[in-house]
Amino acid sequence: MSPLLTVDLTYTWSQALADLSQIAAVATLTGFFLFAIVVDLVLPKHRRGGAVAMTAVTGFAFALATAAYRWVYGQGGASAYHGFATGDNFALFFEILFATLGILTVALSHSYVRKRGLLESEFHILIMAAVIGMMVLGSATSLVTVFLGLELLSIALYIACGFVRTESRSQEAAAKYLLVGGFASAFVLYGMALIYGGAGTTVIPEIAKRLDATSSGNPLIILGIVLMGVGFAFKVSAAPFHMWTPDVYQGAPLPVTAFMSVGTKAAAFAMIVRVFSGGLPHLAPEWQALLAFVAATSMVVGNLMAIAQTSLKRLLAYSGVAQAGYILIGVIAGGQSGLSAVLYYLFVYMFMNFGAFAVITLLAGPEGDRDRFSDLEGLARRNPVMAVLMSVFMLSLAGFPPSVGFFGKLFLFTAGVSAGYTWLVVLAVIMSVVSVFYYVRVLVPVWTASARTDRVPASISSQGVLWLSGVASVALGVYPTTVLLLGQLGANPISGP
Amino acid sequence: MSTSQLALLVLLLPLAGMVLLAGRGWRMPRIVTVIVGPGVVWASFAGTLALFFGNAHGDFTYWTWIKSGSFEVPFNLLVDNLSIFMCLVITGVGALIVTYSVGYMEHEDGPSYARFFTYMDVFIFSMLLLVLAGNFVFLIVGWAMVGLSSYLLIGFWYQRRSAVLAARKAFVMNVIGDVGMILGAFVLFVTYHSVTYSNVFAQLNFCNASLGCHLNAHVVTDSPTLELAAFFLLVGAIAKSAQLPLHTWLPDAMEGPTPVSALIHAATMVTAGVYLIGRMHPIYDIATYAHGTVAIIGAVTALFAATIAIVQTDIKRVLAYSTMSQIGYMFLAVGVGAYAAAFFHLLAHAFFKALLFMAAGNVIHALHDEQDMRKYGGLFRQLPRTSWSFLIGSLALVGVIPLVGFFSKEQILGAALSKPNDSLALAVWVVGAATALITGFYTGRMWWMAFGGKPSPERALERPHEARLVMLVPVMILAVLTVVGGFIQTRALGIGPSAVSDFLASVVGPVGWEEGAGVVVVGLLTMVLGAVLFLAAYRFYVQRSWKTWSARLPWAQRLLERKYYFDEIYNAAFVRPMDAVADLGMRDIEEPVLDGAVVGAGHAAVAGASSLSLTQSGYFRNYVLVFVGGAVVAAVLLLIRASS
Repeated sequence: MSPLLTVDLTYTWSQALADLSQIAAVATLTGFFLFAIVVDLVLPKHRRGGAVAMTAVTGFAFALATAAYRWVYGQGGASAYHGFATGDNFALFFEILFATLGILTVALSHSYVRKRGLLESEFHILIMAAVIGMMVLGSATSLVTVFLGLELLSIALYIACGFVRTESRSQEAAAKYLLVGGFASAFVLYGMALIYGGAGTTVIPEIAKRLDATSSGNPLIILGIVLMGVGFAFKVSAAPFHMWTPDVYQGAPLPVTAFMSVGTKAAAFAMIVRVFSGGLPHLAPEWQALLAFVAATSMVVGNLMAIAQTSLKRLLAYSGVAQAGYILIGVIAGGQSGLSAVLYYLFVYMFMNFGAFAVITLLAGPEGDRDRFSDLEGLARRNPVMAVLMSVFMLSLAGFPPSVGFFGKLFLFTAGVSAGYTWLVVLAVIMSVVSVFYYVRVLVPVWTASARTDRVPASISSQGVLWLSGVASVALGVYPTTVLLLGQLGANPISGP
Repeated sequence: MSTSQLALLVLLLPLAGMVLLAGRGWRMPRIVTVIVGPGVVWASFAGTLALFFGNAHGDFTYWTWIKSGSFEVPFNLLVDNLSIFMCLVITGVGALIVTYSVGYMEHEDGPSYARFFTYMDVFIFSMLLLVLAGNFVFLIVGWAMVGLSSYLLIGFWYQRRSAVLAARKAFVMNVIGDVGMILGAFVLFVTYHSVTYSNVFAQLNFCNASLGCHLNAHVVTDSPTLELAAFFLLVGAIAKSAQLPLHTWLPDAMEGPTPVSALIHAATMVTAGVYLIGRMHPIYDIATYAHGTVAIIGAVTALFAATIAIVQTDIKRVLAYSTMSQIGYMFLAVGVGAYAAAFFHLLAHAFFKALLFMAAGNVIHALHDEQDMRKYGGLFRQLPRTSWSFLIGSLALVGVIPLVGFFSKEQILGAALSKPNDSLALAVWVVGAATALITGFYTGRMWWMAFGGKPSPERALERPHEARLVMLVPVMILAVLTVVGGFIQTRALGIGPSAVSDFLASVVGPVGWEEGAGVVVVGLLTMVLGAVLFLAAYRFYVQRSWKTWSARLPWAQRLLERKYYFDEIYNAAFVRPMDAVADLGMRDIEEPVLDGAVVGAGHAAVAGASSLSLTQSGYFRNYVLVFVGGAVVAAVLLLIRASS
C-alpha cells in the first residue's frame, strides 16, 4: 500500500481555525489586499491613491504585529493544512521582514508615483500581492506551496516592472523578466517533479525523511536538485543565471527595483533554505557543490561587472549579484551559525540596499529616473542628509565596520570557514576588496564640489524611510545581538546541516 | 537609576554634547555652545560624584559586541575606585578647563567656536572611555580616540603651518604607541584567550573576591610572554605620556590653544600612561624587568626634561617640559610599586599644572598672544590675581609645604628611598631628588622672568588688563584646591590622613613597606633646598648680580637649547632615511612595478568586464543560452561528482 492512499481526509472546523492561525500574517494581509481592491473600485478617482496607500500600510502593520505577537507568545511551530504550510519561527522571521519591507516600499513610492503621474492605487495593490507571495514562500512546507508563492510573487512583479506603460524600457524589462522568469519557473517545476518522483511526497519534512544519503546514487534525484537549484539561483539573481537582473533593474520604476532587489532575494533565500537545508539534508554534499559553484561565479562576475557600470541601477544590480554570492556561503555552511548569519544578513541587507535605492529614487524627476553618476553631483550641498546617508549605505554595502555590512559579512564568513569552505571565503574576501572600488566610486560625485545647486526635495515619508534605513544600518551593527538572536531562533526550525 | 546606567550616562553625556555641537551647534547662537560645551562635562562630573558617594563598583556588561568563535568582545565598563578616581580628575578638572575656554576662545568666529567645544567634548568622551573600559578592545578604542582628539586640538588653528606639523608629529608618535598597545593586547589574548581585564587578571591569579587583590607569587611566575606583553604595553604608555624616547611631540603640541595644553597635555591625556600601568599592575608586579624599566624611564625622563626646562624661553614650553618631568615622577612611582603615590601625584599635578597653564593663558591672552617670557617682566603688580595664582602653582610645582605638590612628590620620593632591599629604587630616588632641586631652579627662573623685575621694553603693551571672570574663577578654584588639596593625604609627613591611598587600596593594593622617620627629614631637606634654588633664581634672572651660568658653560647651554639633539637624531636616523627609501621606492619600484601592476590589473579588470559585457547584449536568446549553459555545466559537475 502506498502511504499516499492512507491520507486522512477528515477535516474539522477547529482544525481549520488552528491551521488558519498558523498563517495568520498571510491571512491578515490577504484580507487587507482584498479590501484595497474594493477601495480602489469604490472611491472616486482622486481619492483612491491615498486611501489604498493607507490600507496597504495598515495591512503591513497588522501583518507585522500579528507575526510579532505570535513570535513573542510562542504560538508558532505546528504544521498546518496537512503539512503544506507552517507558522514556525522561520516563517515568522520572514513575515516580519517582508511586512517591514512593504511599509518601506509604500512610504517611498507614494511621492514617486505621484511625481511621475502613475496610477498609485494599482501600484500599492501589486506590491501587496508580491508581499503575500513572499510570505507564502517563507511559510511553505510543501513543494506545491513553494511553487504557489513563487508564482504569486513573480506575476505581481512582472506587472509592476512594466508599470510605466509609456516607457519602452519599462516594457522591455517586464517582457524580459516574464520570459526568463517563466523559463526559470519551468526549471523549478521540473526539478520538483523529479524530487516528488523520488520521494513520493511533496511535503518537505517528509522528503527529508525519505531521501537519505543513498539517494545520491540516483541520477534523476541529482537532476532534480540541479534543476531546482538553477531556478532558485535565477531568483536570487546569482551568476550565471543573473543576466536578467541589470536589464530588469534598470527598466523597472525605481521603487519596484528597490523592492525586488531586497524582497525577491530574501524570499528566494527563504525558499532555498526551506527546500535544500530543510528538505534535502542527507543530500547536502550535492547541493552544496552546486551552490558553491554558483556562489563563486556570482562573486566574481557580479563584482567585476559592477566596476564597468555607468548607471547606478545597473551598478546596484551587479552588486546584488555579488551579495547573493556572499549570502550563499552562509547557506552552504549551514548549521545554526550559517543559517542565522543568512537571516541576519537578509534582514540588514534590507536596510542598506533599500536605503541606497531610496536615495536614487528621490533623484527621479517627472520625466523619468535619473541614475547616472552625474545625477549625484554635488549632493553634499544639495541635500546634506541624503549625502551622509548615501555614504553610510555604500560603506555598509562595502563592509566597513561598524556598519551592519561588516558584521553581516563577518558572521557569514566565519560560518563559512568553520564549515571548511575556506577557499570560498578567501575568494569572497578578495572580491569584497574589489567591491570597495565601485561602492566608493559612487561617493566621489556626492562629495566633490559641483556647480549644481538645485535642491533634492524629499517627502516626509521618504525622509522617514531614509532615516530608518540609515540608523538601522549603523545601529544594528553597533548592537547586532538582538537581530542575530532573532536569526538564531528563526533558523532553529530548519533541521538541515 | 542603577549604577550601571549611571556609569553609561557619565560616559555618553559628553558624546551627546559632541553630536549636538557637531550637527547643529555652529548654526545656533553662540550661547548654545557656551551652555552645551561645558554643560555636558559638568553633568558628567555630577554623575561621577554620584558614583563616588554611592560607593559604586562593578563590572557591567551592556551587550556582547562581537562574538566569533572563541573571540568574544563584550561592551563592558569597569567601575571601581581607580576608574572613579580617574573620572573625577577628568570631568572635574576638565569641566573647569572647558568653562575657562568659554572666555579664552571668545575671539573665534561662530563655527570655529563650536568646533573647539566639539573637539573638547570628544576628548572628554574618549578619555572616559579609556579609563572606564573593561576590556582591551575598548581600551584601545579610547586610547586611539584620545590620540585623534589631541591631533585635532593641536592642529585647531590649521591655518598655521607649525600647528599642522606639530599635530602630525603628535599623531605619528601616538600611533607608535597605539601599535605597541595593540601588540600587547594581542599577546595577552593569545596567551589567556580573553580580552576582558577580569578574565585575564583572574588567570594571573591575582584577585580574589574575598581577599582582594594581592600578589600570589607561588602561582604565577615571570615568563617571557608576560614580559613581552608588559613591554608592548609600556611602549603605548610612554608614547601617550611623552616619556623618553617618544617624548618629542609634547613640546611641539604647545601650538594648540592654551586650554588644550592645560586639559590634554598636562592634566589628563598625558597621564593615561600612568593609569595604564596602574590598571595593568597585576602584570607588572610579575613582569619584574618591564616593571624596573618603567622606573628607570620615569627617573631619566624626569631629570632630562627638567634640565631642558632651564633654558626654554617660551612660557608654555617650560610648562611642557615640567609636565614631562612630573609625569616622570609618576612613572618612577608606579615603577617602584608605589601605585597610590603615583595617582596622588597625578591628582596634585592635574590641579597645579592646569592652574599654571590657565594662569599662563591669562597672561598670554592679556599680552596679545605673546609667549616669550623675555618680553614679559613686571607683571606681578599689573595682573595681581593671575600672578598670585601662578605663584601658588609654581610653589606647588617646586613642592613647598603645605601645598599639594609637596605631599605628593615627597610621598613618591619617600616610597622610593624607603623601599627595602631594592638598589634600583635607591638609584631612582637619587635621580628624583636631584630633579626636585632642578625643578626649584627652573620654576624660579620662570616666575622671576615673567612676573618679577621691571616690564620688558619689548612688551606688546604697557598696561595689560586682568582676564574676564569666566577665565579667572576656574583658575582661582584650582588655586584653592592646590592649597588645601594636600591635606587629604599627609602621609609624606608620617602623620595625618591618607585618603587617596585608602581609596585606591582596593584596586592597586596598599604600599608594601613602611616608611621610616628619617625619610620625612630627607623630604623636608629636599624641599628646603628646592625652595632656596627657587629664590636663587632671583639673583640670576632679575638682579643679574651673579653672572649667568650659561655664559660660562656655552656648550651646555647649546646642548640644552637643542634639547639633547633628539629631534636632529630622529631626523637623521628615521625621517631622512625613510624619505630616501620612499623616494627610491617611488621612483624605481612604485611607478614602474607596483603602479604598473595595479593599473594593469585595473585595465585588465575593466577589459574583462567589457568583454563580459558583450554577453550582456540585451537579446533574450543570448540570456537563455547562458542560462542553459550554466545549467548544463552545473548538471555535468554534479553528475560527475555523484558517479565518482
